[in-house]
Amino acid sequence: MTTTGAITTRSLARAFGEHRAVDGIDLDIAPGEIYGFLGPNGAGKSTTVRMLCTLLAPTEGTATVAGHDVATHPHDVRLRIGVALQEAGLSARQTGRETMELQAKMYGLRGDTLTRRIDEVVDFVGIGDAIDDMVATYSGGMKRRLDLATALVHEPEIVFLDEPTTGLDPDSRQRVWHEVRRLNTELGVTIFLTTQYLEEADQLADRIGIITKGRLAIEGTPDDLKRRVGADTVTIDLPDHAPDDVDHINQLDHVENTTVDGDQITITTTSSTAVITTILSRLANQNRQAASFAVRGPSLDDVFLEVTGNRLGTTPTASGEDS
Amino acid sequence: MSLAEPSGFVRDFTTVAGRALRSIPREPEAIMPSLIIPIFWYVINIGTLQDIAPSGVDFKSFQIATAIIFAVSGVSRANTVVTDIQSGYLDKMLVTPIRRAALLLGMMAADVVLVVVLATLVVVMGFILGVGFTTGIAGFLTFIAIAAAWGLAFTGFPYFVALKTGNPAAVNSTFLIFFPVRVPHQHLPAPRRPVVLAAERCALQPRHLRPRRAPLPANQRMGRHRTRPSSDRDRHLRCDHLHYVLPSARATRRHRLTGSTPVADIERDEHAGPVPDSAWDADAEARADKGRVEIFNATRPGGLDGWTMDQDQYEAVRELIFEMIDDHADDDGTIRLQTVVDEAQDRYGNHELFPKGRLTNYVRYTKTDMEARCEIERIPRSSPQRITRWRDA
Repeated sequence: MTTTGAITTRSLARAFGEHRAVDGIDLDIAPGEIYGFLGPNGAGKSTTVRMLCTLLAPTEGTATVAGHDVATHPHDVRLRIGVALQEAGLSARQTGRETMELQAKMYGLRGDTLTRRIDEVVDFVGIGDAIDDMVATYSGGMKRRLDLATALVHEPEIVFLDEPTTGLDPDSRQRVWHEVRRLNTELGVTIFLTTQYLEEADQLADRIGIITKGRLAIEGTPDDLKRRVGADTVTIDLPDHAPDDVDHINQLDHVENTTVDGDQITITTTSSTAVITTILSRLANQNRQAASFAVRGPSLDDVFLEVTGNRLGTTPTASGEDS
Repeated sequence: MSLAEPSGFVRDFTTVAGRALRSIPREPEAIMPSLIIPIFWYVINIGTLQDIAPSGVDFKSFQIATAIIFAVSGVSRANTVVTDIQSGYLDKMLVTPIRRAALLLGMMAADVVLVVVLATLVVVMGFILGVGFTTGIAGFLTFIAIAAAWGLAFTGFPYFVALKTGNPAAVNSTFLIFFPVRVPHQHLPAPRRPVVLAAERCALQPRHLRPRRAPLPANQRMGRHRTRPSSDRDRHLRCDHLHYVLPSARATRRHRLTGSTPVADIERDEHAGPVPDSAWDADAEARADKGRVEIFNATRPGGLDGWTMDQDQYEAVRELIFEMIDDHADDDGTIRLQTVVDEAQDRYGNHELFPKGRLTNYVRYTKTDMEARCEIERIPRSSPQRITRWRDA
């Protein structure tokens, strides 16, 4: 079975006994796309990735990766994908170079090609001279970068990155993001990225799918998703405002809700531009001024809350823990 | 377009084996116990058990095999698979196009190398303690090759457990499966032979703990044997003074290991007697009290096969065996066992002494008993089996 999409699934499911970890997912990911796969712990992200990487057989449905069925032609799939799983799968008692060479040989690379690719990839992920050190001496960020390098050594058409920045400090996380962008823009690699971090998905993904309880709840570009679920929030700091001001705002078109907290008036609206223009115009006519105002569009956190009923809202802190 | 392309099996194998071999010197803590334990037990077993081993056993040679079984059964590096599973490295290898069989065998290559090294070290220890190979370097190499093959076969089991469970405790316990092969099979319980069990326990105990008194010195046995109510005593005496090889040394003898114990000029089968005095005593009691004969078996440490036969049946079959050898043997004095069985069936198949009508087992067990009593013997490695009168050294 050959398809034009990089990754295509139809009713893909995986059950463990009575529990359906993945429950009928349909995906259509185009070549060269970065697809962000979002979901809370236990939603089925990693199970989906493991099926697409041929590590786990689907119990129902079909999946094709790089045009080959993962169940019937797993060998063809493995030749075309690179994988950096959730745990940086590295052997501590090898040097980085030994790890790279072993990985390259397992993909059939030999001789000059092997040497050239290792040099290129090591340079790409910025490991430097540490490539000849034992992996046991690497920091978490270094291990992630080496793991990414091993996934890229054979120039795969599709790369699966399963929570690539979990546990990394902000600096290391930024470096991985940078490398993922370069991978996509410079090499045209299709990237399937799972993450718990909304900011990561927002920054990197062309499209996002949110999975909850094994099902794909919503899918689209980050902007589409935000637009679908949310209104803008306009916050005006207006000293000495009168009840008449709030009544006036409530009567404007596109205003859904208004709350007052001291001098601050918070307005939820589907058209922030129109509302702000009207309010500023009225204030000018009255020779009054707002101390400040701010507009915030809907976030992926709002989308996530709308879809899953829970707020993910997690961005890694400096210590690598979820905030 | 991906640069990846399928490799051949050999390339896949050498790639993974290279990693496994590189890791050996980097994990000395995983190797040292496998090296120390067999050598430790080799020395301890010889020092503590050699004196109570059955006479005639080349105990040092036998213990070489035991030590190597210990070595090759304890050397498995299957826990590295557990580590790879837990670290996610195995998954990383599994998403590559490498062949699964090459991946597994490549990991096991290091085990085979370790087995060869350990077996060589144990044999060197044996050399130091006086064991040698009569077949020279060829025998040594064959021995090591067998050890390597065993190591490869053994290590497959912990690897299977590692891949199935990913649990280091489960992997570490797999050696228990192979514990029984670390002792001679004669020392294992035989549930249907309680008498043998008792006899074996007795034989395995140190002399000072045995319930019966210790065997008399050879120069005092003559008088003791004359007190037996059996006409077999002369033959027993005769074979008692021959050199022989006991079954517990079979494993090493097959590899032609030799130690300090001299072997008879006449090559005899392992079923050849004699049996311990305790067996003769039990037989005398059974004859006197019950009119039954204790069936001997020289491959049992206690010399008893664990059951008795009616004395009349026994004597009838015994006389027939002697008659067939004396009157119908070929020029070399041997006769096919099946010929004896056929004659016994013809003669006693409808006899009231054998109401069940089948003589095969009566003949076979009586023959084994007579071998243990040094009355007759089978020709080693004859097929079909041939028997003859006991040959003097």
